[in-house]
Amino acid sequence: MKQLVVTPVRCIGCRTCEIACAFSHPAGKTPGRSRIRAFPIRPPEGGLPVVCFQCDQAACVLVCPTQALTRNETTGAVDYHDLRCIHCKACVAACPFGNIGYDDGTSRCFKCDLCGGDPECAKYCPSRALEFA
Amino acid sequence: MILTINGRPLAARPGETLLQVARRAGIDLPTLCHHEGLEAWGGCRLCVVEMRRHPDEAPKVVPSCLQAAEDGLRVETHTENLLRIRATLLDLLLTRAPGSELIRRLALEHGVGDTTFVPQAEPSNCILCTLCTRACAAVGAFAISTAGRGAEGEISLPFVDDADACVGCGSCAAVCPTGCIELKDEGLARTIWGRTFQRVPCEVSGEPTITREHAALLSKRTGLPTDGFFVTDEGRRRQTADTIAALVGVGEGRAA
Amino acid sequence: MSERIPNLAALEAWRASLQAAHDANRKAIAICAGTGCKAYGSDKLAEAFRKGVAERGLDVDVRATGCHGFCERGPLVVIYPSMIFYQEVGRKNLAKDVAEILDQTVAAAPGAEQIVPRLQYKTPAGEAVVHERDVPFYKHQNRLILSFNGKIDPESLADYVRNGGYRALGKALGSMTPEQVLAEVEASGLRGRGGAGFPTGRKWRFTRTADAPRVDGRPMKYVVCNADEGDPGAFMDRSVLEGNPHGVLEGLLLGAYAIGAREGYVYVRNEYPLAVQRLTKAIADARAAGLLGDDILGTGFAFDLHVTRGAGAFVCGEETALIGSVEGNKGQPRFRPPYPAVSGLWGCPTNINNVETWVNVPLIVDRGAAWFAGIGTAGSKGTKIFSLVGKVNHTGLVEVPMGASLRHIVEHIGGGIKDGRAFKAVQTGGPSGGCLPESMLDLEVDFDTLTAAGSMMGSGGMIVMDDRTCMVDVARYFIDFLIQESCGKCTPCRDGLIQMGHLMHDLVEGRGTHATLDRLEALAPVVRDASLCALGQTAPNPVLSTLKYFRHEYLAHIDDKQCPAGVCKALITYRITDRCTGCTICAVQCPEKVITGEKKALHLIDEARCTRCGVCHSVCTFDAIDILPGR
Repeated sequence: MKQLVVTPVRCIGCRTCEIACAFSHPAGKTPGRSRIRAFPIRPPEGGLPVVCFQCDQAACVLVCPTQALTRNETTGAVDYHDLRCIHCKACVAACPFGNIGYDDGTSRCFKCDLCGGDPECAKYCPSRALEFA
Repeated sequence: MILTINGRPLAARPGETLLQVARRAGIDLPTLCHHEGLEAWGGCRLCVVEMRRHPDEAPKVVPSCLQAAEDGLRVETHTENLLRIRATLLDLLLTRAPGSELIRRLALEHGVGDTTFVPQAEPSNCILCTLCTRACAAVGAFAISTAGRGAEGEISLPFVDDADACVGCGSCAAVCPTGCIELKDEGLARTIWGRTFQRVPCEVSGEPTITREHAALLSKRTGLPTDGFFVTDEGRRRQTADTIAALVGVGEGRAA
Repeated sequence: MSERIPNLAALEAWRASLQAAHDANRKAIAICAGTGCKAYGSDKLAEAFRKGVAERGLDVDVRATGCHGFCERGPLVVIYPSMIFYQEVGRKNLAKDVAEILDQTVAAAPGAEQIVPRLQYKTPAGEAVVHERDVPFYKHQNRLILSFNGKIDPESLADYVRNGGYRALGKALGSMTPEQVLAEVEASGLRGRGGAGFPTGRKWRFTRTADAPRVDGRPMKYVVCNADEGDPGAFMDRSVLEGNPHGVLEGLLLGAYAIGAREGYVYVRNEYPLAVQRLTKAIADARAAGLLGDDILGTGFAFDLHVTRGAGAFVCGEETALIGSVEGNKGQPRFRPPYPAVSGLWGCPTNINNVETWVNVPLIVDRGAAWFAGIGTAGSKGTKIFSLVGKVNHTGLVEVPMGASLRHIVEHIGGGIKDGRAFKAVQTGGPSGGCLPESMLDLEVDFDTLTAAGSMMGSGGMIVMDDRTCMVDVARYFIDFLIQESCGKCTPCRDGLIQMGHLMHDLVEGRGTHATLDRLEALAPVVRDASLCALGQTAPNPVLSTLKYFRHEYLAHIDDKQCPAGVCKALITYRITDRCTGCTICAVQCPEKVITGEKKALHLIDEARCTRCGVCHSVCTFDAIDILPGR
């Protein structure tokens, strides 16, 4: 199964991944929240991408009371099912890495879903800091 | 298995409900008390459909959210009788929830403006769908339930004002279709069910995270340590970036 | 005998010895100790008889029995073996009544008994009746299930056994397989007596064949007795539970054997403390005798029973709400399927039947399906107990074969309408049923005929109404009842009934218009079709059946602003006629002080200020006040 591989030293902090992610997950007519964050590192050697690790034993899956977070056997991602969500935000509290958030605007959680198996961020990363392999 | 809905043959998997099959086929069935993440309740009755096992029997009116799909079922979702039933149900619900945008919109879609019935004396906008109590049970707090019977029913804390079991997670207010549960967030304070909680500020950003009570409940249910809960996702991403930077050896190990 | 009965042979030996020791010619005084007669003081009566017998040194058995059924005439006393019948004993002068019965009837030699005339039953024509079997109320009945009630002490296992109790159980455990017992019940044609009339054998079969979760390595199934009896005016189950609890236990044992159930629950409404007490004692005695528990009668069959009390909710008579209640949850119905036969108590296959259904089972197993199927009609076999109440001369519990006509019940057994008034309607099936008019009096009562007529059998409540009953008010009463009892889970019942209540109140309070009827008739089908359970689904029946047969009465309320029956306060007038003697009692009693008049002169009610409370009418001893329709 392919995985989203992050090589931090290659990141140039351009944040194109964030734009690609936001536009490919629209909230109504506007771009949504980006599931990936590329933090600029000073001195400006580049950046540090942080994105969901799709943990084997995910804390978010463990705390969700309604099984709104489940493993997608095809993509390997932990998928969020908004219709099952009761908005308790336990997942947001539980993720040790901050890779799931809650968007008050859409009343939905947001997390990386590997774009269903063809992640946009990896396509647009100019420096191969993000690869789907 | 194959069943027909409105004359269309549709495939269904064992364990599916008529509602799931219909919605998958793009048929719009309104629901109010239904939530994918919670056990079906079958109380609002908006999702009712007409069902026959054999062509010459009289149709049976059943809630599609609970009726299991069976091979050979003949289902109708929008007969005159069903539309009349839905319109009447929404008309009745308007006596309880005249201030609910959702109920008003659904009622209008069914040809009902203001209620034609005698309204409740002091409508609370609660339609007793029990989504809140079911969500509270799912979260594991069991802080609210329906007190009283019939039309006198009310969503209530034990002994009316004992909010000890509430953890301030806000799920009840979030799932409520009419928005009649008051939740007030002001700074770190959150007031709900007559109790004011303090949400713990994020260690990194100072933004509100969750209440101590909610953290304690999560810890009890999952075994995760509570001290991990009090950072916002943004704050934690920063921490993660710092950690990775340090591990990988870039930029003095600090994210901007 | 409080020792364990070790095997089937020992049970029969005990029965034989009890029968041998019983002197059928020995005098006995049977005093009804059902709830109704207890309320009339039958406990004190029984005590007085015991004392009197002891003082006179008589060799007489004084026995408190279960409900005799003729509840209106309690306390009831029957002298055995001659079966001399006395009614209303001790109501006016306990000591005198007891003394005279003992001295004149009991102490006398057989054949030389003297009757106490004032305590005899008299027909409406004035004829006095000596023997119980000739009392019209009893004469026209077919008392199979209720046959134990007048005879046995319901707290005595020995009495039950002596009269043939547990013989069916012995036969089943000793010479029939569970499948054979089930087949017998199926062949009998027994249909559920709780209201729905579902074929009992078929329900047992579903439960028997259902897959069961395992508890302690063995499949777990339950049998449940629905003793919630919530219909207003119904007390059939109460009398059976109080008067013959072992009959119910035996039925449950046979059902458990046939179905493969290991445990059972009797869900009794909390308002029946005597039934709870009698059941609890019967269970304790059965356990001590080895008729409940492990290795029953040494056959290896194991079954135990618990009593669960209700908490005052009519909806808990609905089987899935009942299951919820037994489980400790809120008593709210659940969607079916799955039916309880497949998944009931704690997810296990559960067979729920009404008290009267269970108590028929020992009779069927003992005497055979063919015997049972010979009673009743083609579609409805056996007898049915009705609680006949309302405006009849004889109210009480009536057991007749299915197919008996309404006329037979109301006129021959019930003795016709009280006070010589006119029959108007009979309401059957409780809040789920309907009202049938005079034109339907020859209806042969069974499940299907009643349903076809727009009513239903229900659990057996039968309320007789005369020309002073307002049918609009009756419909209003049932809607108000159901509003109180609705569990509140589903919109059409919870909120729809409230609105039907508003409309019915508009009608009885004088605000009704034709639009009110239109709105009732538009709302009723929605409540009927969209409700979750039978409470809501049948709630419109009283309204719809009265609209069907008594529409003219509704129209009188609307068009003429009159209540023809003289009931609805806003639509009647109290007027003093020239029969008035000027006794001034009404003026004195009037709470609003709106009656004026001189002593010995015609009095006058200020009709504008009169609140129609009815006090003047009820205190007038000259019947001088008329209730006129209209305001």
